[in-house]
Amino acid sequence: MKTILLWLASLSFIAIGCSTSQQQGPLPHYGFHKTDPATGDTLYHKIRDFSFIDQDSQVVNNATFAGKAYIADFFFISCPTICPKVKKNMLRIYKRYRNDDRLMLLSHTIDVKHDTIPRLKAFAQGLGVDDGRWRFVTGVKSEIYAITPDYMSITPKEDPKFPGGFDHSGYLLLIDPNRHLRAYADGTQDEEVDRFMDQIDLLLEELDSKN
Amino acid sequence: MQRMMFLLLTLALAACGKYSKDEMAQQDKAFGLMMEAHDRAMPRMGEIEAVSGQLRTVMADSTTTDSLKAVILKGLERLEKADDGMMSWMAELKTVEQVRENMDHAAIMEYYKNEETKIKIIENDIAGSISNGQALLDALKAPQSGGQ
Repeated sequence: MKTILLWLASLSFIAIGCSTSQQQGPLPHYGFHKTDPATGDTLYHKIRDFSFIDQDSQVVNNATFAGKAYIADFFFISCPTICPKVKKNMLRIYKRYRNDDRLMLLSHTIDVKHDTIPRLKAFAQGLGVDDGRWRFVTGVKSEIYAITPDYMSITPKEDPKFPGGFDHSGYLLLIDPNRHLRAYADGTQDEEVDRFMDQIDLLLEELDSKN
Repeated sequence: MQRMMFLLLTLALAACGKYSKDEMAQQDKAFGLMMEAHDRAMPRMGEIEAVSGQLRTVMADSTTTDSLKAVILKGLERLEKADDGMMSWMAELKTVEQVRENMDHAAIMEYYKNEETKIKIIENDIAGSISNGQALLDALKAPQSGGQ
């Protein structure tokens, strides 16, 4: 019995150690990486060029987030189940980092027909978002769908957990200034989002240390 | 003491509103049943866009004949209609909180029964349009027989 307890204690210690090291170390780079044939360097998965229109009819593209980290998600206003929970958690993040110039939020609607610019504006205002830090964007439907695999590359494409499209899963994605995917969380789960915010802090520290 | 009882009774009535506990449970259940169909269909919306994208690529190919383009166009329209059906349904759907503002219990139950029927039709439309689109793609990928 004593031996079992000792083993359990050791395992707990290892588990805590692993967990702590994950929180303290640099965030990983998620996605499907390639190797540069010339140099042998790893080419990290990168979010492609994009251009959408936000709730204020402003163009939102990669340059909008130059030098900043941002959190991306996919939603639509009339979504009756997942989106309200995700938006609640995005709002928590927005409020926590509201005065932090290093971070922005980007929500893509996947219902471009109903989520018009005025509707997106009203939705943003309903959440109390009025400072340009959280962009709600629409655009050409095929272009929005085309970019989802770039963000949703955190899991194998055939993962049975996401049988019909990861873009409806309510995930939040943390992107660094180099357009690399550094962390993610299920936006419907409050505890996961708490952990996600710790990871945001880690990324922001990393950015500071490089400046 | 009487005042306290009156206050508690008033608060209880205000909390319950115009529906009994059992009626509210029935309404929640009806909403949940309807949403089960939605939750089955919604994850397939990404498939609609994926199949549509592949079909659009074939459409844009200069070697695609006009007759084939006409078939693909029909497939694309079916996919679009299914997608639009789901999005429009969700845009018009009233939550339990919304229907409780101005409907009685019977009307709420009927509303969600009707919406369940509608979403099941949409679910079938989604499945059918994806199957149809995928069958078109499979047929295009299949080796062509020599004789015509």
